[in-house]
This record gives sequence, structure tokens and C-alpha cells, in this order.
Amino acid sequence: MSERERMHRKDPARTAPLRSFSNLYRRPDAANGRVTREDRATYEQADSVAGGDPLAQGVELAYRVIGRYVSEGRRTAEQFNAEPYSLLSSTDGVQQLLDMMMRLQSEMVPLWVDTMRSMLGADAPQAPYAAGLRARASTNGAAKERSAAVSIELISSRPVRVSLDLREHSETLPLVSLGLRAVDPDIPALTDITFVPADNGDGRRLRICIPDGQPSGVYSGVIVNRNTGETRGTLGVRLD
Amino acid sequence: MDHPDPQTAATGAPSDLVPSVLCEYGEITRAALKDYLPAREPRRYLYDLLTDYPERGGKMMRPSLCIAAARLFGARLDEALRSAVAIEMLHNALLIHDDIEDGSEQRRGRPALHVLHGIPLALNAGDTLSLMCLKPLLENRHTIGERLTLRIMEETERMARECAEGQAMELGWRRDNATGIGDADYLEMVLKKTCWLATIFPLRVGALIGSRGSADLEAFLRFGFFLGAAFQIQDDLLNLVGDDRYGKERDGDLWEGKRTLMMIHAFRQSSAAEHERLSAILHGSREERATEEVVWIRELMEKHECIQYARRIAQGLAGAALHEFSLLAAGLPDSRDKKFLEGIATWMIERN
Repeated sequence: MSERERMHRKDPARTAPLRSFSNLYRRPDAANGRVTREDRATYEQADSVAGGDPLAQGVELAYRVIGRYVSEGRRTAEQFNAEPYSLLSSTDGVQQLLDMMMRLQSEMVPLWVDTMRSMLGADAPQAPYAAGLRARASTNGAAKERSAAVSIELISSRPVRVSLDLREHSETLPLVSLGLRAVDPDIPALTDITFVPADNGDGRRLRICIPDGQPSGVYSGVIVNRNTGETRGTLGVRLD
Repeated sequence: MDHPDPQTAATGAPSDLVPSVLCEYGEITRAALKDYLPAREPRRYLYDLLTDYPERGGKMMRPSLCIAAARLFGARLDEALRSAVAIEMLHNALLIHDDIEDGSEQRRGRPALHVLHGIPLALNAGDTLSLMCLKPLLENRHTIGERLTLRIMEETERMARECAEGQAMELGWRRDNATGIGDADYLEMVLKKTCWLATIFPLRVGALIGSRGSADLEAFLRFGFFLGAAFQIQDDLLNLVGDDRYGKERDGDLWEGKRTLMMIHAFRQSSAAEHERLSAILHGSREERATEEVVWIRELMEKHECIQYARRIAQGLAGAALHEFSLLAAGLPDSRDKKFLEGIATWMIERN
């Protein structure tokens, strides 16, 4: 190819790259409403970049506007919260969720077991973990509530809340309470607490007798194996 | 608040669905709104003014979007109703202020509030209405809990800020007779001034309520933007070509010198002489403009096919809104509210 025939690309209208993509369709200083006549030709060129159908042009432009808007929002948000969330905090969140689920489960399982038992008309628990379930009584003293293996009998003229925690397989052991004491040593202990065989001969019955003059408060104590002295659980009573 | 469940009502054909849902949710919102507007003294100077714009009708698009977005996720209507009421109150408050700022003479087919009662009383009514919307927003805690109530208050704060920024941009352009505004500037202004209150805020609040705070709000920002921008452009078009049902002053935007998409296109397409004359006409105040000058601007717009240009862009934005909605609602079950939100993009650009 001779020198004469060589093709020459036309010089570009622009002599520098467009650094600001976001200003491609935007008049500089438009927010203040000031535009010079010199700028006008450049803007017209920019506005016609998409060319053709205004529909496509408008959609493209709108996506750029919202894209820029969202990006600016993200940048601003990063300024306020630049620290990435650590694995620890994330794990903490998961741990909190697990704890919450465990708590919920521990609350719901006894309720579910009681419901199922009452539906089936069963008197004694069948599940191996039943002895470890916590029995709670919230009563005025006339009613009684049973754990899976241990029923509770309350003799009280005042509202009483009872919590019983027993280790697994304790229901067959010779259990005894050493008395329930309040924090204040001057308050007399609750001592009339006995384990007796259940009326139907299946399981045990915890009988708690609250004297009429007993001061209000929280009383607690341990349940032990009479033969070995080994602690098998705890018993708490809230007397209102 | 007990209301019939529209979800169980017969689903109308798509073309009828949007007006029927707007009517239904609008009536429910309007009835609930009355409970928040006391009928006590000073009625003549304040409370009668507060009820004026809401009683004139209106499309009730904003509260309907909020309720529909909440129900899209399975919320009960009453869970979104207080927010819908607050949105409508705020909308009417801003209309009062807009009419004063724009010097508008008509609203919903009747004289604007400041024309009837004077600017000071109208301003006071607008202020009152905008502050009274706090009550239903705070009462949200009775139905959706304190966490979501606080989250909605945060959204409200952002919406108020965005609206004020957009309104400032538009008013500033007019005050300074800006002639170099581009389409992107216009869309940004509309995003802030119109979309946030008209579509983005109602949709995001509804989505927050319906999803109990778990929805992707950025998706609703995009959907709301395209929807609201199509709505605004159509509103600007109706100002020029609307029929008798159009409740505002015909050609009012030209008299007020609003920087609409048509006006921006007219500037862009005009010759140097036309550009100069257009700029000179818009330089003065509304009172200084002559009828023949407004007629000349209309002719200029017709010459440069500004109306067709804006209409095509509105169509494109409505299509983009549909696309964005299909993305955000892909995993949600079909429902009447889903059909309504799908249909509203088309309704936006077909209404008259």
C-alpha cells in the first residue's frame, strides 16, 4: 500500500477520556442552574449518545440515574458504618438464636408432653428423658401438678409456685428433701416436705405442706438420695 | 379497625382491577383519615381547611400502594392502614404547600386552598396536616409493634428529606431560570420530589409491614422510581393535553415555567433564536407572562415533538417498572394485590 492510499482515522472530537461516567447525561453545575453556551454543544452530544428511540434512551438514562443514586447511598452508608461485621458478632447472633431456640424448646417440650399425655389419658411418662423434666406448679395450693415421673401435692392456703429439677432416673430412688431455706437465716425453713409413693403405685409423689404463718418469699433446697447422700436435684418454692 | 377483606373479593379483569382497587383502598383510607381530623374549633380557620383537599377526591394512589405492598407479603389490611392514612395526610399537606410555591390556581377541579383562604391560613393548614400525620404513625405500634413503628419513622424522615431536596431543586431551577437542565437532572429531581412520597415511600413502608422488616427495600426503591417517574411525566403531559377530567389548570406548568421533560427537550431542540426567546419568556414571573407567549411555547413544543418524546420515555419507564416488579415479586404468591401492583405501571401512562 502506497503512502497516498494509506487510510487516516479522523481525529477524535474528544482529547481526554470521560472521567465522570455519572455526568455523561448531566449538565455540569445543573443543580445550580448555570450552564455556559460553550458547554451546550457538548451536552447535546452527550444527550444524543443513546440516540434513536427516546424509549430506549429514557430507560437507559433512568437506570443510570437510579444506579448512581443507589451507589451514592451506599457510599454514604459506608461512611457511617465502615467496619465489617466480624465473625464473632455473627457467631454471637447465631448463638443467641440457638439459645433462644433451646429455651423455647425447654419450655415447650413439657407442655407438649403434658398435652399428649392428657390426650392419651396416660398417667405415667414413657419417654426416658421424662424424669429430667422440670415440674412447675403455679397454684393456690389446692391444685397439684405433676412432672413426668413425680407428681406434686401442695397443701397451702396461699398461692405457691413450685419448681423441681431432678436428674434422670431419680424417680426410682429413695429421695428426701433436706428442707427449703430462704436467703434470710432468720426465716424458718420449710421442713414438711416428703416423697411418698404415688397413689397408683407408679412413680413418686412430692408432698409439700406450707404452714399458714410461713413468711412470704423464695425458698430453695436440694433433693438427695437417702441411701447415698448424693444430690439428685433441687426444689424451689415461691410463696406469695 | 375492622374492614372487609378485599383479598376474598372477586378478582377483576386487569383493566378494571387498578381503578377498582384504588377505589376500594381509597375509600377505606379516607374513612380512617376522618378519625384523625378533629371537627372542633377553630373550624373555619383550620380544621375545615384540613379536610378540604382530602374531600375533593383524588386517586388515592399512595395509600393504595402502601396497603397493596403490605398485603403482597400477606399482611392484614389494618396493619397497613395507619401508615396509609399518614401518607395521605402528608400528601395533602404537601399539595397545599406546592400550590402556594407554584402559584397554582386550581387543585382537583376547584380553586386552590390559598386562593380560597389566603396564603397564611393555607400555610398553617399545610403545616398542621404534615405534623398531624405523626399520630397514626406513632399509633402503628399498637398493630405492628415498636420495632417496625420506629423503622417506618426512619423511612418517613428520609422521605421528608428527599422530597425537600427535590422540591428545592425544581424551585431553584425556576428562580434562576436554568436553561441547561438535562434529562438526567430532571429524573434525579423527580426521583426526589415525586417518587419518594408518591411511590417509593408507600411501597417500602408497605413492604416493611408485610415482611416484618425483612424485605429487600432497594428493590422497592427501583420499582418505585420507575413507577413514580412514569407517573410524573404522564402528569406533566396531562397538564398540556389532558381532557376535562384533568383537575388542574390547563397549561399551568407553562405559566409556572416548570422544567418538565417537554420543556427540557424544547430547550435542547430549539435553534439559538428559539432558545433565547424561550429563556427570555421564562425569565419573568408568572404574572409577567402573556397568553401569546405561553401559546408560543406550546407551538415550539409541538414543532419539536416534545410531547411525543416525553410520552415515549414514560412508556419506557413504565416498562422498566414492570420489569423491576417482576424481579422483586418473583417468589411471592399470586394475589389480587400482586396483580394490582403489576397493573398500576400501565395504568400510570394510560390514565387521563
